[in-house]
Amino acid sequence: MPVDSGQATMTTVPEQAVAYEDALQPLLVPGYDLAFAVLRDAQLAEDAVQEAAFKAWKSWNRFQDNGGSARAWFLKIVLNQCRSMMRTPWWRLGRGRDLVEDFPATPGGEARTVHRIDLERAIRRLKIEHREVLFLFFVLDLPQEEVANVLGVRVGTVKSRVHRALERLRSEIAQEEPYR
Amino acid sequence: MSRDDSTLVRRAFSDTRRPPQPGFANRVLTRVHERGADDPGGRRQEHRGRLLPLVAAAIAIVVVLVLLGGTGRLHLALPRLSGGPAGPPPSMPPPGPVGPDPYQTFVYPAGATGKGTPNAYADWNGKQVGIYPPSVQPIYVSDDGSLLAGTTNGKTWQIWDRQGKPLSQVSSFGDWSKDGAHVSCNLVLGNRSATITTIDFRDPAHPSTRSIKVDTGNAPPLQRNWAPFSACSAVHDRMVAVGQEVQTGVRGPSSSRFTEVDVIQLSTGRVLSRRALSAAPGVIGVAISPDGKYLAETYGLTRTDVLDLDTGKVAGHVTGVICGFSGDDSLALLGACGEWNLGKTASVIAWRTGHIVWSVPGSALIKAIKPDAPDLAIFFQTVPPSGSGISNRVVIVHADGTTIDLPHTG
Repeated sequence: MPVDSGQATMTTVPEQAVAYEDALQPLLVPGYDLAFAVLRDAQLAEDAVQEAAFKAWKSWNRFQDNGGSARAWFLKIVLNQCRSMMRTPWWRLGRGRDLVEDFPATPGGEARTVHRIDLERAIRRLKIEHREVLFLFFVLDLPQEEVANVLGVRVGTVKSRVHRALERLRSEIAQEEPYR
Repeated sequence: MSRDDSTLVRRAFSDTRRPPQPGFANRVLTRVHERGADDPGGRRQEHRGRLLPLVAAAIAIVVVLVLLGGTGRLHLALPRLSGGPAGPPPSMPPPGPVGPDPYQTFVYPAGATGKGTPNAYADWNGKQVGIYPPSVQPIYVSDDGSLLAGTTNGKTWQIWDRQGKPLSQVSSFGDWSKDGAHVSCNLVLGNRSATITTIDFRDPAHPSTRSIKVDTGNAPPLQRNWAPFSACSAVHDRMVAVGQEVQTGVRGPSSSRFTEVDVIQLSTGRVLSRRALSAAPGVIGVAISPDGKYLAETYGLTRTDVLDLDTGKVAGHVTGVICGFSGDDSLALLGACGEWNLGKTASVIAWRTGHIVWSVPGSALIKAIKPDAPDLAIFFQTVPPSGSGISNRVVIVHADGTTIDLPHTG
């Protein structure tokens, strides 16, 4: 009996790993993009997805038992990871960095660099909850129900949050690009 | 919600997107399997199984101690139950407000992947002296890594030691002196005058602040609309300020250009020399030697002139972009200065002779400069032929081209 169960475990482990990788592989870059949309730092976004992927692996059995959308489940883990990173006292201290560091000028590309810095400033002034909902709904093109699932709120809240976030983004961009 | 809304949001996020590093997805999955057991569910149960007897034993011991009587005895016994109070890991240096002698250590990213954590500090013999606690994320770090500065509101600045212990607060902060000295310099541009504030942190609990107006003599003052970047050396008593002017057209901000370079004596505020860069169009990058003596002006990614700021004369030319100088001014790092996709080769060269001391494929960055010495700590990435599994490395490069690899983790 112990030998049988041991053999059974030996055969199921690779299958789990394969299923996990098949499910996660297409979600890693969207997860990174979501983390970057929130954190605005490429390295931190990679760290967040790395940690989220590990948490996803640890809870893989539970997810398979419960079923549901792997995309919503993983993006939710990514967002939770981002939020916990932003709760650390050191997080806020690093936010005042000069944006020019993030967009090093390239020869002949100064106008584009300035434009990108304007947009970056506008996004950074949005509330985190607004960045999240705009990115999930408009960029990842998730249905409102799935956005609600990822954010852990009701569909009605998603609708109103999208509305307010849009208003805010328009106003921030107008402030950065007054003559456009 | 209209199509315009969708376009607006997508444009905002896509124009500011930064892609992950090559091989990102494979790296994530590989590391998950390196960190985790093969069976995702089994780990937790195994952990629980190990923990339960320990918890039961701990409870039993506490009950026995309480029965033996006296909170004093319990107080004395408790640390043994938990293995003693939490303290720094064994690799940490002895606790103290400031680390070893300022010239002996420097900070570098010790993770094989990612620049975030862990950050470590090493001496110039290549020995890793310690690692920052995970909770300590260096923000503005003194060159030797022993003092950290940060702000939550841009008005009050907090100074910490390596352990994250608060030492003092100051009302202004610019950047650390580029010579390992525990001094910060800040250049503030006003409508009619500019002010340099230096703060001496040699006694970090009692910093002493000194402000002095910049004296340009009969020359025009420093421009109010600059977005300047500056570097200072307390040891060499000078600050170099490079003016950068943002052009505003009818469609808003359109471009920026370097305008001038001012060399200022820190102790008196007197401008020692001024060079107009607007007279030399096409300057796309500048670098200043740590002692403020040399300025590298790069034109169109192909040619860099090195100017002696004391004499105003050209001291040398190199082909390529100079990212920075060594502490004794003899060597310079040449390459794409961390633009990872542009770099073909990064080299440390003796810029006066053109002799290549050391080179590596790709791009590189200077992580630390040994004061008044040719040694440089250089950060670069190695990419295996498969393209995945990029690894970060930091090496100390000596003047004779020999290198020391710094320890890394992960």
